[in-house]
Amino acid sequence: MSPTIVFVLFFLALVFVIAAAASASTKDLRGYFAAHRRISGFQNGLAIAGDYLSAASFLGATGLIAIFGFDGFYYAIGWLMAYLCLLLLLAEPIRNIGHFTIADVVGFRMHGDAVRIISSVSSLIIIVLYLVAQMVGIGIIVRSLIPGLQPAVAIVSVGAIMLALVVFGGMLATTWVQIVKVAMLFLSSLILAWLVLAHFGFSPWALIQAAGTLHALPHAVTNLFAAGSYFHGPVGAWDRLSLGIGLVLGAAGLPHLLLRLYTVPTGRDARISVAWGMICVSIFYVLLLIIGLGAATIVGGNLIGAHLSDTDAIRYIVAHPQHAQMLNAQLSSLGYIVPHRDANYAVPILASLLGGRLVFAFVAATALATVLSVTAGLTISGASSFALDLWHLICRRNDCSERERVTVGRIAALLIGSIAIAVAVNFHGHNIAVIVGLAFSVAASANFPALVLSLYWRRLTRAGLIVGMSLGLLTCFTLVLAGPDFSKTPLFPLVNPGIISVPLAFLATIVVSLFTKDDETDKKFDRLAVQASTGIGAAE
Amino acid sequence: MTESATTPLSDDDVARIAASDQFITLRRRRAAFLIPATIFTIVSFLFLPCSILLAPHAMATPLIGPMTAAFLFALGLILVSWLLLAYSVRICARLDVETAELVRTARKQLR
Repeated sequence: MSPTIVFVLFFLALVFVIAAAASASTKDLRGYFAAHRRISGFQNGLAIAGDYLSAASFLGATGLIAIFGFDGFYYAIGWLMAYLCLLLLLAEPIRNIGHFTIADVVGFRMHGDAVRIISSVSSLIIIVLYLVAQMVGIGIIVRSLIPGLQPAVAIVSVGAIMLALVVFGGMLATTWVQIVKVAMLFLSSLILAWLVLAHFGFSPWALIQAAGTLHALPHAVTNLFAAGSYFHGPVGAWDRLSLGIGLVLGAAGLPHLLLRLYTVPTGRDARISVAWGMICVSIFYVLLLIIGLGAATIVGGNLIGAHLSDTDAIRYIVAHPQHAQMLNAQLSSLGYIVPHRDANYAVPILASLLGGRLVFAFVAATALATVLSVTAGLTISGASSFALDLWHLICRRNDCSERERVTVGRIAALLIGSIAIAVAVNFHGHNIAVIVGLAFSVAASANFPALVLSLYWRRLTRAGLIVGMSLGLLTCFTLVLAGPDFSKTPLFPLVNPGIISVPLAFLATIVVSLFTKDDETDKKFDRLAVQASTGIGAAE
Repeated sequence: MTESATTPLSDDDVARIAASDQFITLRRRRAAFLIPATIFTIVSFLFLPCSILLAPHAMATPLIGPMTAAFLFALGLILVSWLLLAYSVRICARLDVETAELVRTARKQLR
């Protein structure tokens, strides 16, 4: 049996053991959705890092650094700085105010169900976007593990394992799988960074010099450390800024990260867990930079992508005669062709090249663990939004037993996971980091303004919140659909809508609030402030 | 929600705590740190894309070996995030002591 299969089977066996062990304690609401709030700050920090370090970071961002240099690293820096916003502004108050979901926080001062419903819908949209990105990652990983396997088959089979974990193991199993995954991720990254540095005689300067001499970069950029190879020209520069707004504010609105804050006993623990998460993430991004530069110099940006050899390669060349000369040259010199550049392949190719079968096997198993655990975290977060907000409020009009909500949560997990699998099957080929960038934009536009203003602005009214959240969400989606990613003749020139949608959401919320009056919201602000600051009255 | 919660407060209790000097001071101290620190985080990060937008050539200039001003600034942001994290842990530890004192006082009054 190949080492790849051994590592994968070992991890999957561990997943099943964890799910089985946790299943006994997932009968009630607190057990299924919040792991009985008994996770420690440090453990939750590792799990938060696990949720955050998705396939987008491990595969997508590393590949983007390898191919696009600075512009790829920009993603990582944005994700890191976003953690600070979450730590400073939201971690502690969210734990002290809410019970299970974002809607608990934005709905704390609001009468009626409209606010909670909009908040849940936006959370579900973010979760499905993020899930699709992870599922695309699963296709890539399993395809490199078992050559010849169709991405659709890979996505469906791994998706099914993830669903089993979430449905039976709930939040507790998801948390422990995240912790195991973070340990594997760190080990893989350390091994890869070590191998890259060893290749350059343990001289980071030699690596930097080698990366600096690379040419043939996209859009005629002459230096891998310069901006412009991914976001090029003046429009690209605006797009970079727009993405930055989405990244730095988006993390604080990601439902699956915020849900984690409810698994610890107190607000202080929530803050500590975000701090530990940030330490893990920042170390990981430094390793990621080394690995990305290593892939750029050792593999070469032009050779990052799916490799075709033998009859597959010949069949492809015959079907694409316009590139026949270049592809034939590749086939005769390398023994394979790379028809399309695909950043997501950088890590597996580098691992195989530097570490041989064993390191490749471990890295591939790690990548599989990464996407599986993150999809599990996203699915349970979506299930909580559906069961605790939408089902409980709309379908059952606040009259729903704990047992029913847990059952609905399990069914919702199955539904959300299945939708994501179906979408991902038709979505492969897109860069994971780019899709995640879009999810961040939605989170920054719809959730972040609502959370910040709910927690810190007394004058906020229900009407203001509803208009702001709806406008943020709608603008974000309209601009994405009118943008270059979805339209051949784009009405909006940027891929990332954050530069318009985030300020608009803030502005709309503030203006409408100033022109409307809401005594109840105002009255409840003191209660919110006392509970958020002291934890008195917080959910146990 | 059917969730249990610690000591549910009446509206009068909330009003009393919210009006107390101790609580007002705590909120003010918290805001005095959190708001500038958050603004600094967002501005320092967005300075990077803004400077590339406004001064692309300057930010593409290699400063140390092949490393450009933009790349060095991005590396610097990692350092900034660590410093800010360390500082916030220190400040929040101090605020935790004040919060614990406030909660003790509030609980005594509630009894």
